[in-house]
Amino acid sequence: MLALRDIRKSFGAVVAVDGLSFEVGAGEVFGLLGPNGAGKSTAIAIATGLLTPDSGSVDLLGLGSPSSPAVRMHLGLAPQEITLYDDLTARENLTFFARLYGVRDIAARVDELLTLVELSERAKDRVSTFSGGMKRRLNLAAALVHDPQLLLLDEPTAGVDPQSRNRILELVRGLAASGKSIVYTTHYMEEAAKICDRVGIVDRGRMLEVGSVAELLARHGKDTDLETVFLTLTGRSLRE
Amino acid sequence: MNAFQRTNVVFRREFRSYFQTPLAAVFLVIFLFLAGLFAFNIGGFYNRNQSDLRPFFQFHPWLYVFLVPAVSMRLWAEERRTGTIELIMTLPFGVTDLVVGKFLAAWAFTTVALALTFPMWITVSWLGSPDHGAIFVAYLASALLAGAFLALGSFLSSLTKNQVIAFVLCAVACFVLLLSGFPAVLDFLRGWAPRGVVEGLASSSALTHYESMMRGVIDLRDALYFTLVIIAFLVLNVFAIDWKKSD
Ligand SMILES: Nc1ncnc2c1ncn2[C@@H]1O[C@H](COP(=O)(O)OP(=O)(O)O)[C@@H](O)[C@H]1O
Ligand SMILES: [Mg+2]
Repeated sequence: MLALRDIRKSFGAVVAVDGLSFEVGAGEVFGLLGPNGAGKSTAIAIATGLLTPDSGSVDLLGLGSPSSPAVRMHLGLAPQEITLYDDLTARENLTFFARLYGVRDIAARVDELLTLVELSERAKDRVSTFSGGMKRRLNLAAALVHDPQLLLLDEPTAGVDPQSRNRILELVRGLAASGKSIVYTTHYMEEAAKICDRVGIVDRGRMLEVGSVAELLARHGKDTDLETVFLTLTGRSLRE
Repeated sequence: MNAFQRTNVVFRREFRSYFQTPLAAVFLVIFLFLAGLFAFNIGGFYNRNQSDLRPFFQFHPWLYVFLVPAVSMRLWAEERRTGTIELIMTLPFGVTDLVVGKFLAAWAFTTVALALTFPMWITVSWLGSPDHGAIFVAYLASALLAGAFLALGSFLSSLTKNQVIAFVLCAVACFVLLLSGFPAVLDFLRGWAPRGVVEGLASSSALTHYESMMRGVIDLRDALYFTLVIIAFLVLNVFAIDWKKSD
């Protein structure tokens, strides 16, 4: 569904992504785990075509690179920063994007999404009045308007309360169950352990280890958890 | 969904958004107040025994230097600041439709402001018998000038996420585009610069073409000038967004 092969990307002297490869299959939740500055968002930006890699290739659904608009039709992005129009209501935000995507029966689709993220009651309120958790849920709904095959969710639970977090995790699992491929970046290990079919641990732009959570745990000894594995691999020194 | 429909979606969202902030009201009040002030007091609207709107239109370029950047500054800088540009860039089509839609919305907004000055026209008609054709052409010239400045401003707005920077860049650029046709500047240059350079500068100035249209005739060269300026800056706008993407 999504394949990144040997991607490299530098910003001046900073090597953000350094030979990263991974694949995500249909109906799979792939967790991209790494400390701040590991290169997760850069990898996502490359997967969406927002950034062009210095070298390496990206393939979406076997259709080729996301630099082609037709390929992007199958891609939904929820960036790390909330990307909604504060001056519009929840409904207006989704309607705007649905119109641009050329979604049919927009009102029904928007209703369905608002229900899915449990924001129906606040549909007519401006986003500027929303809490962090509500904005996150709406941000996720915005990535879904055109019912894409592949979803890229960059830290979709950053800054939300446990209720919203739970709802988002449930949603992600549900979406995967309906056959969507999902890339999920986070640095919360318990989240990753809960919802990811496979995870890749990245640091300094490199993939340190890939596999299912069970495989990773097995490789690092019985009495361990994902957090310990993560800290062992990425080191305990503080990050940016 | 074709390009026209997408442009229309963006146009409507953008045009509406002008009226959801106090900006629109503030802009309209300032525009109408200054246009009137300049025309009546400084331009001596009543003291000239001539019923036309020359003094009124003469100040438009200088008004636009400050007012157009206020409209154009947010067009793209705001999308960059809020990060919505990332969603826009991942839409399954190029940004041209969005650039055009936003530009047209901004242009429609300034045209509404301009249209609200129609009592001036009524006033001169009542005071005398003006050349209505000339006034119409002057309105057209003013709208074209605003369009050219807006295209320039939209392009500059796409280079930054800071609206204040977008405003200042646009005001300076518009000012330069006017000054290069200002008689005093050209006279100064004529003293030492090669003639071709001075004439080239004058004919690339928005002021030269604006004043040419003020004479009341539509010269194809003037219309072409404004059209080309608008297209050129919108093309640059598209390139700038593609080039800078999510930064
Ligand atoms: N646009 C950019 N310009 C310069 N450096 C950048 C840019 N984007 C990311 N970086 C740098 O690249 C590295 C990886 O960043 P990022 O991909 O955002 O990491 P993560 O999402 O894992 O926290 C960091 O060192 C960051 O400072
Ligand atoms: Mg990140």
